[in-house]
Amino acid sequence: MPYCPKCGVEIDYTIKNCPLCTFPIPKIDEDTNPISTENKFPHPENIYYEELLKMKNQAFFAISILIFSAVLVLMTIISIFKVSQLAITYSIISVISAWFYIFLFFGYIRSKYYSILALGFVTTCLTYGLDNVDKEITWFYSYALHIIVLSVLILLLLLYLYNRSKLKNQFVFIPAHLCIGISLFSAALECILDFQANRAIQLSWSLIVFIVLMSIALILIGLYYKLPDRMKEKIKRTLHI
Amino acid sequence: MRQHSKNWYKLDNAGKLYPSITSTRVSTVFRVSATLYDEVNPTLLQTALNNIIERFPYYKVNLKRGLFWYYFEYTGNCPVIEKETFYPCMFMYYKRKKSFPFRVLYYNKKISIEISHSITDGTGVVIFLKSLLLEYFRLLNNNLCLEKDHGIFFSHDPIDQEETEDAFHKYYQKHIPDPPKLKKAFHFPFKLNAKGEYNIITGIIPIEPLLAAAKKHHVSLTQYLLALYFDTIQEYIHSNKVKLRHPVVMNVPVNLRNLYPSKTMRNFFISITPQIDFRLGTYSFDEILDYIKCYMKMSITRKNISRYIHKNVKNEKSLFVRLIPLFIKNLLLPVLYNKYAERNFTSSISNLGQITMPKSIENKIERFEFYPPPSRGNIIKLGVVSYKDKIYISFGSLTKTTEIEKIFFRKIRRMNIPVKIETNRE
Repeated sequence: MPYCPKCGVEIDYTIKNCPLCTFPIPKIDEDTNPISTENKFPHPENIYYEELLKMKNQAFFAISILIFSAVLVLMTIISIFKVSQLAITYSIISVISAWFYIFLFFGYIRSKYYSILALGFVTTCLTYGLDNVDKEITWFYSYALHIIVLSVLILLLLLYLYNRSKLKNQFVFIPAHLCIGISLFSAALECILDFQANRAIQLSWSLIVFIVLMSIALILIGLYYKLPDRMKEKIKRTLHI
Repeated sequence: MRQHSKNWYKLDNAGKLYPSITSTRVSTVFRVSATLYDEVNPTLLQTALNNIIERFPYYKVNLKRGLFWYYFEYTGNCPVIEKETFYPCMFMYYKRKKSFPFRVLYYNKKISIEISHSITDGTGVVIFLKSLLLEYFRLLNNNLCLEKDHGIFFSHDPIDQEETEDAFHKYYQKHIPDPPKLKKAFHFPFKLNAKGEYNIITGIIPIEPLLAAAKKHHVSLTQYLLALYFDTIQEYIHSNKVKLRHPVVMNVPVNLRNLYPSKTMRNFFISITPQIDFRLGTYSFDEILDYIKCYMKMSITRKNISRYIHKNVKNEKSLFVRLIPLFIKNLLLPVLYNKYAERNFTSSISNLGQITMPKSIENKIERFEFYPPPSRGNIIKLGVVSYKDKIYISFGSLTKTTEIEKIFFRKIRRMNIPVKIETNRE
C-alpha cells in the first residue's frame, strides 16, 4: 500500500497526491494488490450546474412564450383595431429586444467578451429599429451608435482589466473599477453630446464626475496596493484608539 | 396502519426548521453508507427497498406546504434507487411533487442513504439502512438465518405507534428555565468551494488503540476525538497565527434515546456546545480532555437536556410563531438559524457509535460510513461511525483547504496508530 512520506497515512493506489498535504506519492507496483485500485467514489459531477441549467431553461421557455404571446397580441391589435401603428411598432420592437436581452442575461453565451459584443449588437438593432419606425433616421447615427460603441469599449476594457488584475478583493476591485468606468463614460458621453449639438467640445459636468470618481478609484487602489509600510504605520499611529 | 386513518403528519420539533433553511449549499442532507464485499445488485436492492419501505411508512412520504407549516403526506409511490453520480449530501428537491425526503444510492459495492434532517436523525437512518441491508441479503440468500435485535426491523414486523411520536413534545416540560445563550464562535477563514461541491476525507483507523488511549484517560471515544479536534484547531490557530476574536465552540449532537425511553424513528437529538477560548493561552491535551470530560458529565443529564427541549418546543408552541405564514417563515428562518445556531458554532462532531449487524451478514459488509450535512456556517464537520474493528472518521468540507484534516490525522499517526485515508477529492 502506498504511504504519504510526510503525513504517514496510507492511501489508495489510485491517488497520486496525498489528500491531506498534496505531497506526490511515490509509485508502487499496482499489480501486487489489484483489489485496492477500485474506485471508492464515482467521478463526481456537480449537481448545482445541472439543476441551475434546468431551472434556467424552464424560466427562459416560460418567458419566451410570454413574449411570443405579447407580440401576437400586439399584432392582433394592429389588424383589428384602428390604433396608432407607430406606438404598436415601438412596443413590438421593444418586446422582441427584451427577449434577446433576457437570452443574454441568462448567460447562454459562455464568453463574457462575446456577451458584451452581443449586448452592443442587440442595442444597436433596437435603437436603429426605434429610430427607423417613422422611416426617418434622426438620432441613430449621430448619437446612439457612438454611445453604444463607447459603452461596449468601456465594458470590454473593464472586463479585460478584471481578468488581468491581481487585485482580487471584490470590495476594492469592483467599486474602484466601476468608478473608472463611469468617469470615462461620462467624459466621452459629454464629448459626443457637445460635438453633435455645438460641433465643439467643452467639458463641464463630466469633468467634475471624472475628477471625483477617478480620485476615489485611485485612492482605493492605492490604499490597497501600494501604501508604503511607513505610511501604514503613520496611519495606525495617528488613528489608534 | 396509521396512514389509513390520517394521511399526513406534522414535522417534528427539530425537523420543522430544516425545509425552511435548505439551500444549494446548506442541503441539510446527510449520508450513511455501507460498503459490501460484493458488487451491489441494483434489481435486488430496488426489491429490498420496496419491501422494507412498507415497514417504515413514516418515511414513505412527500413534503407538502401548509399555510403555516410544512407537513409530510403519505404516498403510495415507492422510492427509486439511483446510481451515485454527484457529490455526496447534495441538496434534494424534496419540496417538489412526488419527491421523497431521502434517496437510496448505489455505486460498485456501496449502498448509501442520503436523507434530509427534516425527517429523521442519524439513529433513525442507521436503523433504516440496517433493515434495508438485511432485506437485501435475505433476498440474495433465502436460507439466511437471521437473529433479532441489533436494532433492525424486519419487513413483516408490526409497526409500533411510538416510532412516529414527536418525542420532543412528549418530554417537554413547561415551567423550566431556558439554557444560557451562546455567543458568536470562531470560524475557519477558508475560501468556500463552488456551489454543488462537497469534499470528503475519511480516515480509517483501527478502533482498539484509539479506545485504549481513551480508556487510559478515563474518557469515552467521542470525548477523546472531541479533545483531539479541539487540539487540532488550537494547533492550526497557533501555527498559522490566526487572529482569534471568539472562542472555539463545538456542536455535539446527543442522541436523546439514551436518556429518555423513546422508540421514535424521527428526530430526537439535542446539540450541546463545549467551548474553549484559546485567547486565554495554550491548553495542554490533558487540560482539554479534563474540560470535555467535566463538561459532558454536567451537560448530558436529563435535567440539563430538558432545558434545551423546553426552549425548542416553547418557540414552536408560541402562538405568534405559529401564526406567521410559511412564506414569511421561509424568509426569516435562514437568517435566524444563522444568528442563533450556525454562527455560534465553529464546527460539529457527530458520532453514530458502533454499528452491529447479525452474525450471518456481518462478514458480508466491509464498513459503514457517515458523512455530515454540508453547511455554509460550519464549513468543516466531522462524522464518526465504527463497525467491527475499525472506526471511520469522515471530514465533510466545503473548502479545498485540508489543513484541519492534515493536523488531525497526523496527530493520530503520531500516536503510532495506522490511518488509511480515502477521499472524493480530485
